[in-house]
Amino acid sequence: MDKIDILELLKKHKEGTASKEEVEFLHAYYDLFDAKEDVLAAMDPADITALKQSIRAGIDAQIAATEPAVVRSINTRYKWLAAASVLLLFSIATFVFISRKPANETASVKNEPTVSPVVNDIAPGTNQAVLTLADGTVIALDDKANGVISEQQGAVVKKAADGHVLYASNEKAAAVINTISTPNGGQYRLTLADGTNVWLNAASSITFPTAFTSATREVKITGEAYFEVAKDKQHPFKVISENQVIEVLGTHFNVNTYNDEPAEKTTLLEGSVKVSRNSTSNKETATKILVPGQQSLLHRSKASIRVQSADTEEAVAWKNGYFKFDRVDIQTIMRQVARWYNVEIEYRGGISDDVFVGKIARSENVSGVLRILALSKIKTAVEGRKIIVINQ
Amino acid sequence: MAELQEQTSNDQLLLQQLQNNDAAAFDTLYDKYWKLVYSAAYKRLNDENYAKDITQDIFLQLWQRRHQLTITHLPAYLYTAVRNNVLKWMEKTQRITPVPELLEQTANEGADAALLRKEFMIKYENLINTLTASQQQIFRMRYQQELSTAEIAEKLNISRKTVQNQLGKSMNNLRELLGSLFFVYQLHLYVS
Repeated sequence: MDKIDILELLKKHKEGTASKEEVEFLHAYYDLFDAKEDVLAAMDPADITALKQSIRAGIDAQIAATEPAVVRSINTRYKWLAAASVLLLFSIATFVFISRKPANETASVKNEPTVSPVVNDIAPGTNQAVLTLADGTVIALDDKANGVISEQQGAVVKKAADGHVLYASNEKAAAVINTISTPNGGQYRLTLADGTNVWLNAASSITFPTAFTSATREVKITGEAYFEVAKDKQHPFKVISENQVIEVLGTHFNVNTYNDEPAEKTTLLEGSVKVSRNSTSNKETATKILVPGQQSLLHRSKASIRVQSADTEEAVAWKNGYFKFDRVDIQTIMRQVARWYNVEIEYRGGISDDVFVGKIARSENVSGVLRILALSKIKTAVEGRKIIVINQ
Repeated sequence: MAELQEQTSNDQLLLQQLQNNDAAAFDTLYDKYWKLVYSAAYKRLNDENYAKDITQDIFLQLWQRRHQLTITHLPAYLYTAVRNNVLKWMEKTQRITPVPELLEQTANEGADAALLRKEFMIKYENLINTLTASQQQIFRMRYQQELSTAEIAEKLNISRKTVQNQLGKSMNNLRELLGSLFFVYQLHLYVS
């Protein structure tokens, strides 16, 4: 409620119409925050150094834009500034590539001396998953629509016309637990009994009741999933993963909990969610409430949950059929490639710390992704189901 | 105290070198003060990217306006710069920490926090005191004694409509603010 009024005061302050008392009140409000804990005190020294350098790179890039000569002298002392300028090149190269017509691609690739030839290619992932019923029965799911799959104690599992799985339950239905899991190179969409839509990315799973009969609607996930939770204020929806619990009423969000990613990431597109650590031993855990456009990062090794503004389009690109990269390192890209193309990744000659920008359809063969990397001077080779990244 | 003076004169030297386009002096100042700026912004905005943006802007300004700025005490300059930027961001993004939540967050943070809270309450009182006497009277009856508008009307022997108008119109923005600050105010009454 008072949010509106502080905002009202802030507006007057900006316009210069605030009274002396109002300004002093705002300043006292501002000072009160000083009692809060220093965020840097809880951070790893390595993270602090990275943060310091990243801010400094931003300053120098902006100085460079206005005073090229001065920055050159600063440049020489900051190696990572070179990386920042290279980044710009990468983004141009990548987007040039994306705008090309597929018909010209093969021809231009042949003429490109820096591009490593793709000897064998690997097809992208498909809509496929495995459904495990409460009694242990395993059913393979694919794109084909084929009506009712199973009936379990009043809950009906159907395949919809577009191939996704639909759960429906009558009032008398007793909840039994089902699991749907996708392999590497698979993704799947399902609708839970309450109408909540779930998109599962590759190498992920969701465990849920066939009917929601308890006070809270609880599902467990591994890997990555995007949720459009059906609104039901009487029955909060909980998404539980290895390290965190997300509590929602009705909202759209993405959860990335892959074990090989550095943090469990929750990105909110609509509504609001509460993120807390999934821990039974330590009751005094941090809780963060996200507003749309924010992302929480929960590191396995750290107590706190960090919140930052997020590129929501990047977070849900996978669900919309894209890879989208906004200043990410090669390993982050290759982890996604490994999951979607079901390939192994090997690094030769060390790992580059350059960052990349780009967007590419997930329907492309793996050669499409590798070509983007080639344009950014990253050489790769494909051996069977292994991609070798060569750093020179 | 001697140490403090030394610190200040050291900064003055660096600022002078900055005016002579010395990039090394800028490096030293950045290394010394970036944490102060970043932490202060982060505490208020609770967002890494916003805190980073503000830190960048402030140091960018320090470099770009090095010939125009006359800074007598750098930490004080930075404090004001962060505050201006943070208040601007809060206004622009329409995202703030509500007062009750903020007081809750700082409830167990020791003597410094208590001092800041006290200062906050004083400024809050001063703000109420800018209301006219009759506005204050109605306000206090409504929000501190928790009387209904009908009860106030009866006590003051005025119409309920007048009470509502006074609360609604003349107190305008303040009313809402005080409404949610009410429990804080009570707290203040108990401790003082």
